[in-house]
Amino acid sequence: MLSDSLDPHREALRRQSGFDSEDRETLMIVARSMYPHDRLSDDPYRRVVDAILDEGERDAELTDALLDGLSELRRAGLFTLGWRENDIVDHLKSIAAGPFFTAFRSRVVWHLYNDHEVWEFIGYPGESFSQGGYLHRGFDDLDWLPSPRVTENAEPMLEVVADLEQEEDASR
Amino acid sequence: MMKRNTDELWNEASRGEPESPLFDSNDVDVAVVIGTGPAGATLALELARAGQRVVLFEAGPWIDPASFINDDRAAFEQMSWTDPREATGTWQLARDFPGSPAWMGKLVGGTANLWTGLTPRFKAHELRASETYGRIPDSTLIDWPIGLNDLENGYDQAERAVGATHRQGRPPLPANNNYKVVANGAARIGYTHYATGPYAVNAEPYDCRPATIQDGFASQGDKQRSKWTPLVSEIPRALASGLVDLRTRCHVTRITLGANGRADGVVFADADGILHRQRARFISVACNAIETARLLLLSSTAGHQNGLANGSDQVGRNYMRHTSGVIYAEFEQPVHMYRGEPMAGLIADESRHDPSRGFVGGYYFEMISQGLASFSQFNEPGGWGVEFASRMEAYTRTSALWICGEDLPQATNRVTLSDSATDALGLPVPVVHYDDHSNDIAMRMHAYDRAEELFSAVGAVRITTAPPLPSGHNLGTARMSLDAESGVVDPYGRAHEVDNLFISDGSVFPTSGAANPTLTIMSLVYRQAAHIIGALRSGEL
Ligand SMILES: Cc1cc2nc3c(=O)[nH]c(=O)nc-3n(C[C@H](O)[C@H](O)[C@H](O)COP(=O)(O)OP(=O)(O)OC[C@H]3O[C@@H](n4cnc5c(N)ncnc54)[C@H](O)[C@@H]3O)c2cc1C
Repeated sequence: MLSDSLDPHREALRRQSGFDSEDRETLMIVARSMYPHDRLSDDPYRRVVDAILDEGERDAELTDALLDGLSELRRAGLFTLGWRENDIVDHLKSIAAGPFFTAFRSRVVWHLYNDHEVWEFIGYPGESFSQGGYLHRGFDDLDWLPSPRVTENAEPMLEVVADLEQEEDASR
Repeated sequence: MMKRNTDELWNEASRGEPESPLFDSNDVDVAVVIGTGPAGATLALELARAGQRVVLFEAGPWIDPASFINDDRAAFEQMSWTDPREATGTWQLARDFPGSPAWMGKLVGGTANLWTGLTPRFKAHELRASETYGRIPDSTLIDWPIGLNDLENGYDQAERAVGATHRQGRPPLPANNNYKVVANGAARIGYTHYATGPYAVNAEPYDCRPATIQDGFASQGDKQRSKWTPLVSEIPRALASGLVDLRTRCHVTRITLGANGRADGVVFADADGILHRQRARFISVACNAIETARLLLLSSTAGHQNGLANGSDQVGRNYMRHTSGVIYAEFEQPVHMYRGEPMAGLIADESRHDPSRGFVGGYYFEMISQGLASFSQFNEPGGWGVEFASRMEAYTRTSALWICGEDLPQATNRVTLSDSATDALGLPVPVVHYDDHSNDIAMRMHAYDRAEELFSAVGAVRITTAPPLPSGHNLGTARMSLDAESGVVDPYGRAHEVDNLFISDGSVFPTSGAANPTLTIMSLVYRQAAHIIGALRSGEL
């Protein structure tokens, strides 16, 4: 496997034919390790990886960064005998300034928190216009604090607090 | 009943996108106004009301409010100015968002389609910043050549135009969940100047626009039309006058001068990138500080080698964007900040000038809410890992405040033209350079500390601070001054060096004050419009 990933012929094939299922699985696990939500299924992470690979088809630089990152991960031996999140996180920390990490991470966060299964998991409902907004559906239902004043304070505020030091300076 | 009325009024007022030009490209009597945001749209309507014909240019498309999308990401793509830009300097935006240091709209109605609508006024001393704050090293602080009394009429007009809550007889908005958190926190640490506005979203029907349904997507264009924008107010009125010729997807690339040294027209690229000319009697630039400076710099010509009206070398300099930052606070109990008007909460106590805090000028705390996608982008740019993910999981239990404070003008904070990168039209992209002033940093740190106290006082279990979002407030790049040496325009926004060229947006601000800028931009436009109309009537223009 190790030799496989370093084989220039295989690399050339990957570049032409895209990423195999093992690559996808590896990237899914990396995405999960970057943004771990234990009770979330693998599906959103898989969709994230698909979206990034789709983008890679139009962006050779991205594809290169991903391929280099994958080779590096294999070389680090992180995926040979099952994987441990801690080891992956340590590895990611060590490559955080590199092109793979930078390109991949920014896209994972971008897609993951825009995934509707993730929204549901976190409890964000998205648009509300079609349901009449929140006017009658809890925009003000917070009940663990008293209701505050909404009007302005009628007393004018002190806008300039005298600067004693400056006045002293001026009179010197 | 009221709902039907506002819809009927809207249907009557809104004629949709105009299909063909009204005025001839060689018509030398039209005014050209560039930009359809609060500045340009207000000026165009005021001119039309006085009988002046106007050709109004907008680089972006017409988007009907019904087509706005209530999704952070899709709306961003639909409405934002995404032409390439570059950011340099020590500000964190240069690292976090190097290609988009500022956040602007590119559509009819401009950035107001994205704005949330807080409308505080400047305070009198903020217009005399140099006099009040004294000499500040490394800043080009000057006083405004006008005082608060010069702005007051315009403020009244602007508050009526936008229907600001708490003002001109308009009622306040009710408290939403996020406001309950921040207002209680404010009260507990001794603040007293907090309220749900002033805010340019209707609490009750007003001016053809219905009351808010608290849907939470005011910043995504607002399908409901309860938020004021020129797209649902000044623009339809301007079109109905028959005197305003709106040209959408037309990007002005250059202002041209006649042999007499006066501006005589513009060159613009249409949607297909084909260049055309439009003649003009006078011209107003209202493209939002970065693009305004860029257009002047692009319009250099014999006699104006460094850019149009730039003999002072002040065009592009003194760029300001407000000292800013975000504080997120997590609670054990639910907040659901995304429900309701996202920024209807203003705390003014720290907006005073009180140098005992270790900095000059003041700042506001403004309530803010974000959809999950934006929350993940801005919570900690570049963030990842277990801690980060746990903050995302706490989204529905999170409340947030945004800092909006005065930043100091510096000559080296500056918009210039790139000497290598170009946009789709082949024009050099703007380079936005910004170094934080030590005063900005001291203010931001103070605000982070105070916000922590505020949120702790209502039981926050985790508080995190985040750097500034891409700048929505862009100011100062063509500042006004009495003399032609220290600024670009006079107190009416008229270029010192080209007497039929006007700047109408926040570029003209000599200092930023702490207040969100739009109400002041509009106030200046009303004042400028009256000046222009006077000059037209006297035959001077
Ligand atoms: C998320 C967000 C929230 C905000 N909230 C508030 C708030 O609560 N309160 C407040 O006071 N302000 C707020 N603002 C700022 C407010 O939107 C701006 O102050 C205001 O829109 C500036 O108006 P303007 O007309 O000067 O510029 P804009 O509204 O930016 O309009 C400029 C227009 O000019 C067009 N244009 C630019 N260059 C050219 C060209 N060369 N040719 C043709 N057209 C061109 C652009 O496409 C754009 O439509 C917010 C901004 C953002 C991004």
